[in-house]
Amino acid sequence: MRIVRAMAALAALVLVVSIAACGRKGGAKPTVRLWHIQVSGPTKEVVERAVARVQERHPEVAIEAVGFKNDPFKTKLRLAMESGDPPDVFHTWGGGGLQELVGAQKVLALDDAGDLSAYNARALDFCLACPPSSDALVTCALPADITAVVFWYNRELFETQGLQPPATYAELRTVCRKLKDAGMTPVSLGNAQKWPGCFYFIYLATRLGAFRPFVEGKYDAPSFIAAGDRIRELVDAKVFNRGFNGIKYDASRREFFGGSAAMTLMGSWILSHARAEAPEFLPKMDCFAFPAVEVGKGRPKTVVGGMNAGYAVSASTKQKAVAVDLVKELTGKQAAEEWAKTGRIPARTDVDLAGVDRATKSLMKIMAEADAIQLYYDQALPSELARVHKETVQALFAGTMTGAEAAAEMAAAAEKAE
Amino acid sequence: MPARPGQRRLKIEAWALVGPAVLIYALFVLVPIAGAVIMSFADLRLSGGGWTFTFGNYAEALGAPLFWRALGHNFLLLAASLLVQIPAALGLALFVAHLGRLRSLFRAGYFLPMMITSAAIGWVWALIFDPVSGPVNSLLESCGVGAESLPEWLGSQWLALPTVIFVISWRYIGFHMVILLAGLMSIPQELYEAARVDGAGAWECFRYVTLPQMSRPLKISAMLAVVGSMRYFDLVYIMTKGGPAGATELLATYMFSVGLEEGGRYSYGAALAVLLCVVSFAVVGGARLLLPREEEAEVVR
Repeated sequence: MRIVRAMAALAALVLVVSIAACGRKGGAKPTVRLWHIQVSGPTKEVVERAVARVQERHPEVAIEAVGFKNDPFKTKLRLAMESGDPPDVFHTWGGGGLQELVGAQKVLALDDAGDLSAYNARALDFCLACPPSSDALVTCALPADITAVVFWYNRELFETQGLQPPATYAELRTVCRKLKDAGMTPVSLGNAQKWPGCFYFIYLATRLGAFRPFVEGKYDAPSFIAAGDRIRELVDAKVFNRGFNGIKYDASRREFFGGSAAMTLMGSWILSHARAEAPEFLPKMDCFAFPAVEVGKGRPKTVVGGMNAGYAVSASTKQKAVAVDLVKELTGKQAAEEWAKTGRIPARTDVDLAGVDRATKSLMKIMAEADAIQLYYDQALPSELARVHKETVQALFAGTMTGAEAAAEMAAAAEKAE
Repeated sequence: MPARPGQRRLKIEAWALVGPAVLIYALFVLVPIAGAVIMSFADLRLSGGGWTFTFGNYAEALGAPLFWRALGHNFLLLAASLLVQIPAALGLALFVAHLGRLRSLFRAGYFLPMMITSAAIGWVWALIFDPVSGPVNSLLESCGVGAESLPEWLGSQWLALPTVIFVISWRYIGFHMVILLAGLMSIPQELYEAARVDGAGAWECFRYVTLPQMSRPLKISAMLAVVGSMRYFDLVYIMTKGGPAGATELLATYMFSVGLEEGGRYSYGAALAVLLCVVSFAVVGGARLLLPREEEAEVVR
C-alpha cells in the first residue's frame, strides 16, 4: 500500500516537472526559428533550399523553419509577439502591419544590413517603418517578392466568344454581359474571407479618386462612396458566381481554373496556385490591368499591389548574425531566380527571367508600365481600421450597406482610432 | 485539538495528490480569467495603448450594434438546440433503444460526428453547401430548380445562420442521444409492465412513464446545450468567420475577430470575453431557476 502511494506521489511530481520543462529543450544547439507562409509546393522548396544554404554556413545553430497558412500565421505571430516568445525571423507583408510591430519595438532595424541597391526600390519602400525612438524611416525588413492584383482571364473562353480584354470599365461591363448571355459566369469571386472583395473597392476608389483621399484618411470622400456604389452595381448585374460571400478563395479559383468562370480579379499568387493545382490550365491563362474608369481622377496605370513576402528579424533574437544572414539569403539573387520560376515576381532587379510563362510575362509588362503601386488597404491601415474596411466591403457585396453607409462607418471608426 | 499524526499525514498526502491539478488549474484557468478582467479595464492594443483605467470598452461593446446582433444569434442557436437538437435526440434515442442487436452499431454511428474534428466537419459541409459546385445545389438543380433561384446557403444573408445551425445540430444530436439513451436504458421495465396492466397504450407509456423518468437526463442535456450555445465558436469560425456581413456572428467569433485575429484590440476583446461570461452565467442561472424544487431534492438524493 505504501509503495502504491509513493508511486502515485512520484507520478504527480514527474507530471509537474515535465510540464515545467516542456518549454525548453535542454543541452541542444541554440535554435533560430523562422516562421513563413510557404506551406506547399515549389515555393516551400525555395524557402527550404535557402534555409539549407544558411544552415551550411552556420553549423553552430539549428535552424527550425515552420510554415503556416496565411490566416493562422497572423494569429500565431500576434500571439507569439504578445507572449514575448517570437520567432527569430518571420514573414511580413510590410506596411502598416510591420509599422505596428516596429512601433511596439518588436523588430530589429536592418539599416546596417549592407548594400541594398539590388532590391527594387518600390519593394523596399514597403519595408520602411518608423521606430518610436526616431522620426526617420528605417529599413526593418527585406523584400523577397512583390504582388500585383490584375484581372486574370481564360484566353480560350475569350477567343470562342470573340472577346477582347477590356480597357475601360464600360467595356468590362459589356464583356460581362456577353459572357452572361452565353451562359457563363463572367467573374469568379470567393469573398468569405473578405479580402478578395476588397480588391474591387481599392481599385475603384483609386481609379475614381486617386491616392489623396486614402492618404489623408478621408474615408467618406465621394470617391469611396462611389466605389461602394459601383460594387453594388456589379453585384446587381450578377457578374459574379452565386453565393460568393460564402465561398472561399480556394473554391473560387477552382471555378476559374475549371473553365466555368471567365475572369477573376486576384493577386499574382494565383499563378503559383495554377501551377500547383491546374498546370494544364496555365497556358490558357493571361491577364489584363484593371480597366480605366471613365469619370475618375486616378491614373489607369496605377496597380494595386504589395509585398508578397518580406522577412524581418525579431528585436529579441539571440542569434542576430544568423538571423540577418537568413533574411538576406531568403531575399537573395539565387532565391529570387527560383521565386520567378514558381510564378512569383521577385523584388530584385538583378534577376535573369529566361523561360517564364505567358501570364507571368504579361504581368511583368503591366508592372513595368505601372506608374505607382497602391498598397492593399488592409495592409496599409492599422489593424482596427483594416477590420472595419473588410467588414464594410463585405457588407457592400452582401447588399446590406450603401456606399454612403459604408463610407460613414469607416470614417467613424477612423475618428475613434485617433 | 492537534490533529493526530496519522490524520496530518493523510492531509499532506491528499494535498500532494491534488496539488498538481490545483496548481495547473490555477495557472491555466484562474490566472488568465483574472488577467482578462484586469485587461478589460485598460486600453491595450497591438498598436500601443496602455494601462489607463477605463470603462470605455464596456460602454463601446454595449453600444455596438454587432454585439447585440451576435447576442441575438447566440439566443437563436440556443433556441435551436433546445427545440430541435434535444427533441430529435430523444426521438433517435427511442428508436435506438428499441433496436435489438444493432443498438451499439447505431449508437456509434449517430455519435460519430462528435469524434470528427470540427475543422474537418466545417470544411466538408462548406463544400457540400457550395452554391456553385456543391452536391446540395446539384441535387436541387436536377430536381428542376432554376440556376438563378438556387439557394446561396453560406453566402446568403438570411440562409447562412440556419445553414450553420443545421451543421451544428448534425454534430451534437448524437451527443445528446447518447446521454438520453443511457437514461432510457435505466428505466426499469417493471414500470412499463405495470402501466400496460393498467391499460396504457404506447402514447400513455411514453407520456406517463418515459418522460417523467427521463426528466434528469433531459435536464442534463438541456443544461449542456445552454452552456454550449452561449460560448459556441468553432464551426461558425471555420465555415463563415461570422460572415457574410455579420450574418452568423456569435459573441465568441466577434470577440476573436475584434480582439485578436483581425482587430488586435486586446482590451476590447477582454471586455467582450467578460460580457460573454456574464451573459452565460445569467442564462445558466435563469435555466436553473426553471428547475422545479422537488427535482432539485431528487438530484441531491
